[in-house]
Amino acid sequence: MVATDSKVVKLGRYNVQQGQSSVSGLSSGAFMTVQLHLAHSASFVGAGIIAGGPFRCAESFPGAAPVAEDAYIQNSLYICLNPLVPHTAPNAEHLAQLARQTAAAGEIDPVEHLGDDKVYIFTGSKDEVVFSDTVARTKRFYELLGIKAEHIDYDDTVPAGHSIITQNPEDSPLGTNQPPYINQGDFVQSHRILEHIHGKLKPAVERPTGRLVRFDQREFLDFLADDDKKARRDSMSDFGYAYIPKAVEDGEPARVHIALHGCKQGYNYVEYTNGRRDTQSSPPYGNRYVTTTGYNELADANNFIILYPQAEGTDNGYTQNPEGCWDWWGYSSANAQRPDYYSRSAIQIRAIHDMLKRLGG
Amino acid sequence: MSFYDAISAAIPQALQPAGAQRLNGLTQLYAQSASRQWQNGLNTVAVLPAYANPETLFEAWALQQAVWQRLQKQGEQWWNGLATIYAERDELRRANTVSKFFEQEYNLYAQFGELVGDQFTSLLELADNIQVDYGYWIAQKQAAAVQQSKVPASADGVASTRRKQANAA
Repeated sequence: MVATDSKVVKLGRYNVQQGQSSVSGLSSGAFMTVQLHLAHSASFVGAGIIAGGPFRCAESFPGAAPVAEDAYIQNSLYICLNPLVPHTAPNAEHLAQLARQTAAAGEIDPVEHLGDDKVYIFTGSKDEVVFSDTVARTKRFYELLGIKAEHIDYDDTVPAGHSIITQNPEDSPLGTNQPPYINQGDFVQSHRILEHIHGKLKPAVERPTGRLVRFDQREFLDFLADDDKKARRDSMSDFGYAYIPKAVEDGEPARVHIALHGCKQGYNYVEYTNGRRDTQSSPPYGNRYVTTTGYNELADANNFIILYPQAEGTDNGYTQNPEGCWDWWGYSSANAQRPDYYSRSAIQIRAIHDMLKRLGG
Repeated sequence: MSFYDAISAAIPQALQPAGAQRLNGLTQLYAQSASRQWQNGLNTVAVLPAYANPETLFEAWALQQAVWQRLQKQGEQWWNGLATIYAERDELRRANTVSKFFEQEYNLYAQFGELVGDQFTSLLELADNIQVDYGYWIAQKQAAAVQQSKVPASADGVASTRRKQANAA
C-alpha cells in the first residue's frame, strides 16, 4: 500500500513512450475504458475491461422511450446492464457498425488503429450488476472491429461477483456484489490485465519506492462553458491521483496506464440515503481503488505511470449521476437529444486524454 | 423539442409548482409505459407469422422463463428479509432507557419499510425491464424480417479463451 502526502501538485511531464499507453476499468470504468480506447485508439496499445459493455451500448434501442434521455437510461439499465436473456443483450454487429460510422464521421480515431491491440475482457459468473451476456458481446464487438482472436483474453470462468479481484484478505468474498466492489480471489486482476496487454513483466515489488501524487483535476476542465461548470456536467472530483515510480521520476522511459474506478469507488463517494447525501455515515471506501488494487506494485517494477482519474456523484437537477459513475449514457451532455459522451470531444474523455498528454503519452 | 417538452414549455412557470411538475413527470413515465405496451402489442401482431419459427418460439419461452426466475428471486429476497427482521426482533434485549426502547422498535419498522420499498421498486424495475427488453427483441425480429437477412443472428457463441485453453490442455 502506498501513502500520499497532503500536497496537491500539478501533474508533471515524464519521459513517456508515446503510443504505448493502455487503459483499464471496472463497470462504468470499463464502459469508459471502451470509449477511451476507441476515441483515442492511436494512443493506446490495449485495454482491460472488467464487467463492461460495448461502445454506445446505451443507444441500442432508441424506441424504448419517446424522450431520448429516458431511452438512453432505460437502454443502459435493461439492455446493457441487465438483459433478461442473451437475445436482449446489446447487438454487437449493430454497435460495431455504429463505431465504424462514428470513426468515419471523424468523432473518434480510425478503428484500424485497433488492429494490433490486446484486450483483456472479464466477467464474473456471479456478477449481478453487469450481466455476463453483455460482456460476451463486448468480446464479439472487438472481434468485429478486427482485433485478432489471439489478442483477446476473455475470461468468464471465475465465480466472482461484480468486482475487481485482489488477494487482499480485507476485501469482500469473491462471489459478492457489493460496494466497494473489490473482492478477494486467488489472483491479482490488475497484474493479469497489464501482463496481457504489455507482455511479460517483472514481478510486482513488495515495497514500492515511488510517489502517489494528488493532482488538480479542475485545470483539465477549464474548457467547459460557465453553464456546464455550474451544472457540474463533468461530474469529476477536484483531485485525481497518479502513481509515479522513482525510476520514472529520475528520467527512465515510462509507459502510462489509466486505471478507471467504477461507480461508488471514487475517493469522495458519498452514499445517497433516501435521496440525500449521507455525509454522516459515508462508507470508508476512500481511495482503496487507488492504493489496494495492485496496480502500483507492478507499475513500480516496470516503470509504468498509473493515472487514476476520479469521478464523483452529482445529482443536481441538471446532471444525474448520484453514484459517481463515468459517463456512458450521456448525463454529461447538455444536448439530451444527441448526447456526446463517447467521442474525443466528450467532456470526460477530453479531460482524461489531456491528462495523458500532460504526462507525455 | 420532444412532445412532452413542448407541452411543458407551453405551461407558464408560475403554474408549475414543484408538486405539479413531479406529478407531470410521473404522468409522462406512465404514458411512456402504456405507449411501450401498446407498441409492443402492435409489433407482436405484426411479427406473429415469425412465431412459426422454432427459434423464435424458443426465444419467447426463454424470455418468459427469465421473468419467472427474476420473480422467484425477488420472492426469496422478501422471505429472507422478513426472516432477518424476525430474528433480529427475537434477539432484542431489554432497553435501559425509554429512548433506547423506541429506537429499537423504530429500527425494526424502518427495516420493514425499507424491505417493502425495495420490493416495490424491484417490481417496477422488472416491469420496465420486461417492456424494454421485449420491445427490443421484437424490434430486432422486425428488422431481421425486413432485411430478409440470410446471416444468422449474432451468436451467443462467445467462448472463454481460458476455457478453450483448459479444454485443449
